[in-house]
Amino acid sequence: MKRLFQASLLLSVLVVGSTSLLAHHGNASYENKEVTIKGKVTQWLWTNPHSFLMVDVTDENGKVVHWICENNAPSTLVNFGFTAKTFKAGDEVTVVMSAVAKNGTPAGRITRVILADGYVMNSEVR
Amino acid sequence: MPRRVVASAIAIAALTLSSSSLTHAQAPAETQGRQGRGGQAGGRGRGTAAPAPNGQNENIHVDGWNRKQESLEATGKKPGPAPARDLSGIWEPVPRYRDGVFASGPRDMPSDKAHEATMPYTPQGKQAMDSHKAGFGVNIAPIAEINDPFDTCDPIGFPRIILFNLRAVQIVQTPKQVLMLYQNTRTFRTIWTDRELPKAAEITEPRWFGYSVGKWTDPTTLVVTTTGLDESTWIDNVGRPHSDQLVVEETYHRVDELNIDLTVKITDPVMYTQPWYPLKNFRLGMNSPDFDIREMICSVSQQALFNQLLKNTTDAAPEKK
Repeated sequence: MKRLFQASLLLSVLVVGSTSLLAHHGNASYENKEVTIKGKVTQWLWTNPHSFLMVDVTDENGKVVHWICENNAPSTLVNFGFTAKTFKAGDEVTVVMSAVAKNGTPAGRITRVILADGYVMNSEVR
Repeated sequence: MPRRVVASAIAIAALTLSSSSLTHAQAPAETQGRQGRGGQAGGRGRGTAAPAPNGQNENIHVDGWNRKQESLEATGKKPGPAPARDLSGIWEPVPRYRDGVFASGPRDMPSDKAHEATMPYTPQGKQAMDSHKAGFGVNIAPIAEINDPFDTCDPIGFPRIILFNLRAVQIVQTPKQVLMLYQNTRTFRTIWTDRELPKAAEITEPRWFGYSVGKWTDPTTLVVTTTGLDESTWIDNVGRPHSDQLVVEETYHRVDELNIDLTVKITDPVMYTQPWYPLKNFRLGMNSPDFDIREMICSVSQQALFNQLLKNTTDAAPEKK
């Protein structure tokens, strides 16, 4: 399980529809690709205009990539059950992003987070 | 002040601060069960197409104290007739509380190619619009190039306060005023109902939220006119410009006890050849009087953190061969 967990950076590159995000900040720096990562939470920033889940992903060679996973504003996320305490450092999570930085920077926008026990935290329930 | 009162005040302040949840949220007892997991028990949300075997969260609208809320009409209450000259209450867009987000422009004039083609820009208006680099709409730009004044937490101003992230708004009436208390940026406007608008020459200080007067044109319709607006604000989230000649007319029609329809008319002869309507009969539904309006603050330090975290995503994408 641990090894599987550390195997990290999973699937990617499924072009998906654009997500409707809710701040005055746009998504011109992102491209619409579905990317899924597995890693450990280092920080959960419950901030405006958007929140961030910082996740370290370790590959089989031990190399760590620090992902910046952007989520919606707290005022939206509270309606989906997120709180300032939803994640803590060390939590094992799978993060599904619908858009990632065009230039290859490990940053993207969260569609959903799968907790260690399999429970799914969607950022948008359609 | 008696010690007990002081203690109560401190307790209320502490509760309010913790429920604001920007740094540390402690949910009321009824929602404790989802702490740590983040999920919600029960509710009426629709699931995603592929159900998660171990469960998933739902969309349950909550107020600032994390209590489940929906509009009074959605709870099954039948609306009575509209009261006369009364807009007081706590209101949110319906049928969905997020219908007033308007990230890509207001509902009736979003910033897509088709609607932009109908915008009555003057040459000066088109030039001003083209100079605005927005986060959404036809002028979408990478984060580093955005020159939206609200991105540095300048006051959102009027009319953008009703044309972007129009969330909960509490309307309070006094004999001479209608006060609008907005969730977004936790700000308020004063609409005077006892006077005429100041003449242009009398306005020596343009204001972020201008000068507003309201007239009841019939017992259920309040027409609010606003002038004297600071030119540095944008009309909406996609960068529609305005000059100091901007006049905004809001019409609040109380349809019945539980609903208001809002229409907004923009007139600015410097930027637009004719008036245009960002909203026509946009519906606001009444919430429970127990609804606590959540904080939604533009924090300068959090905004700086946001910009810092994402700055590296704004480099040009490598050329694909």
